[in-house]
Amino acid sequence: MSETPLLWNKEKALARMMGKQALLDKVTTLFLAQFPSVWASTKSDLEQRNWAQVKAQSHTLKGSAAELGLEALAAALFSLEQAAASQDEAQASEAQIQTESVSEQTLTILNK
Amino acid sequence: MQSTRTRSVEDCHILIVDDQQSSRMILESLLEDFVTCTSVSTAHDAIEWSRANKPDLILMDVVMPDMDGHQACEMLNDMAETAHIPVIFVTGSANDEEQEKCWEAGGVDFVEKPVNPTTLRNRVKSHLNHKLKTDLLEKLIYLDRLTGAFNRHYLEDNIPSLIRDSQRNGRDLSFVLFDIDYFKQFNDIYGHLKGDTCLWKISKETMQSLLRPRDTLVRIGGEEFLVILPETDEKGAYAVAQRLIDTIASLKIEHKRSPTHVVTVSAGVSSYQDADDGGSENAILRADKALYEAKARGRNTAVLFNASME
Repeated sequence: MSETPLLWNKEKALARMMGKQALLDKVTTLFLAQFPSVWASTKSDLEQRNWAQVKAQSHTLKGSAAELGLEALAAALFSLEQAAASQDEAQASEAQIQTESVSEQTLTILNK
Repeated sequence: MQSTRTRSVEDCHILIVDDQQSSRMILESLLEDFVTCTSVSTAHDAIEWSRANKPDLILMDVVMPDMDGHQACEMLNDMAETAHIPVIFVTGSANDEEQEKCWEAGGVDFVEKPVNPTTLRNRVKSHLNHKLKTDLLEKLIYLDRLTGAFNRHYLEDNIPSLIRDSQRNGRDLSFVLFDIDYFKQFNDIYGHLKGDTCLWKISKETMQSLLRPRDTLVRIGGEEFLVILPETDEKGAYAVAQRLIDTIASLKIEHKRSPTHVVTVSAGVSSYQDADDGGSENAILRADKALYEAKARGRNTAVLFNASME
């Protein structure tokens, strides 16, 4: 049975960084600085059906989210990456809505 | 400089290649307590850095904007100077297709992102240990025990790939052939034990004076040595030869039967030419002719080959 992805599995992220809180803080700061602009650019590429860019950027964001234990966001971005790879407009649209919603909640938690 | 010391994992240097700053930061932080790490953000930088510094292991991201990790790995495997560097892919996806691509590109292993620190550290240690053992075996096969320089087996096994690289990339490849002046007389006066010490000192100084890791010293036999200089034209090789002659003379190793009263060397310089047809014999023969000319000019000098010496 698969577990429901958490918005922020902080314990798991910290364990993957060998318990280095300072490292987790640095990576979190980097993510908060990077995510809004890359996500805005991804949405713009999505509007223009620039699939290669959507795939590349959602892959990058997915990787960064996964490193931080942002499981739900990583899952939404994975869905977007797959949709871009197969150029599936319906799935891409659904994944965009999902990513938008999850990212808002995630950023709120991270900013706390 | 060629090293004759046995190395351990703590002496190893890893190159981390990832376009994401956070990934570079995490990987470095997970490994830096037992190995030295350097990070670059593009595949092109990785290739350049590896050619210049020859890391012991590369951790390579797969998806990168300028060139993907698979392509970079293939290019590294295709160049003589980097072909021996193991590459571990750090990949966001380890599905069957991705795994096939990693192996096909020439990777030795892969770890999945986000990385499990225990798995990463153990795989890195395991591959570094394997690399160190391979290096040690190569050292035993290819190094001359007396001088620490490479031997003729090394020359025979490695020169074809060096020539292939220089031809493919349109880059120069030059040779400095040198030997010790009046060495027979040195042995006659001081004995073979001191003769061996003299060979060792000259070899050691020469290796220290070669500034780039890819420049190599080979003991051809007796008191004769060859310096292989990739990406160096005749002019550059001649400058290396001059520096070498000055360095050896400055050691001031006593030699009563030498006109200068110290041990000196003479050198002949040549470069690989397209007409040499893939082999090093002709280029080394030209260096030998130039060396003969250096001897005729009174020794303790370097001569660059020219057509009149044919």
